[in-house]
Amino acid sequence: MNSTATQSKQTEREEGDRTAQPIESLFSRGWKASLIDDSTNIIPLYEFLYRDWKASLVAEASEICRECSQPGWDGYDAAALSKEALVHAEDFINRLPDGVSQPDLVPSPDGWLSFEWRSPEDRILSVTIENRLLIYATSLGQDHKHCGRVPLAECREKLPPCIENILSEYF
Amino acid sequence: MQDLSPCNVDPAERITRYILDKRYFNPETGKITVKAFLPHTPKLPGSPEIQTSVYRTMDCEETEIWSIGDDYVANPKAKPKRFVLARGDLEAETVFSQDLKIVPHPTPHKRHANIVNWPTEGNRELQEMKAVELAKKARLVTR
Repeated sequence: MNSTATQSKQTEREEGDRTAQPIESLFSRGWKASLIDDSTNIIPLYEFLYRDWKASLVAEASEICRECSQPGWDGYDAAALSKEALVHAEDFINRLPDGVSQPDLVPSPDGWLSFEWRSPEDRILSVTIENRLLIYATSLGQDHKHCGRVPLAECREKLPPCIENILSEYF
Repeated sequence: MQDLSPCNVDPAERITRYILDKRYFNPETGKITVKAFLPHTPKLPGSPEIQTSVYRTMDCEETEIWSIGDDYVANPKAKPKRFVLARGDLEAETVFSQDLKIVPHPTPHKRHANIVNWPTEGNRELQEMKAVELAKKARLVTR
């Protein structure tokens, strides 16, 4: 190998080292907790950090609980979201099977967190994790509606089959 | 402006739910979330039944509809400040089709009303089911 080729390899290694810096070092160099994209929208940093939407959703749940920690956060008289709501939501997110589409995370006026799936065909599935219950309601088409409740104790390991079936078939 | 009946809400009337939380609507899809219509539980025993606060906006100009929201629903003195960001418009008939009722309640404004007759707190899934149907039929209007 001649000296030019060796130099080129050396440069490549150095470039590679620079791009492989740990994220902590970027913060120490003055990166802020948000970034600005081409359209000058501020984008939360977690959207860049987590490729996995589940991790992103957990971060979002935490942010919602912080923002909705005072009663009346909805402009009416909603109850404050508690740490318990966050714990239940994290458990639920981690039990979502791979391949399922990403839900919207929505604070509930009664102080819990909800997950809402909506399809282009206007199907809706709403799941709320309360203190001891999973409450769900779904509209899957004309006259195809269903709602129910499942004790959380019965779905600690995996999602209730009814929810899993709805998600896999319709969303 | 046509006078509103103080007792009965006509099925053809437009009913407006003001939205003050950014997570309750998506301007890209034009959809409103289920939770935007869920009733509020009374804080104290003996309080009025669970209800969703709405306004009867039939025959109102757009500017008047937003003014009612700004003057009677928004709370710019709250911390953080609460502003009306959007609204969900429904035909009263959609509410009635869910076995819900709309009761005029002219405080703080003559057009104020409450959606009542929700299933009891012990039947949260039935409340949720009705709110799903309202969310499906509601028309999102943003500012």
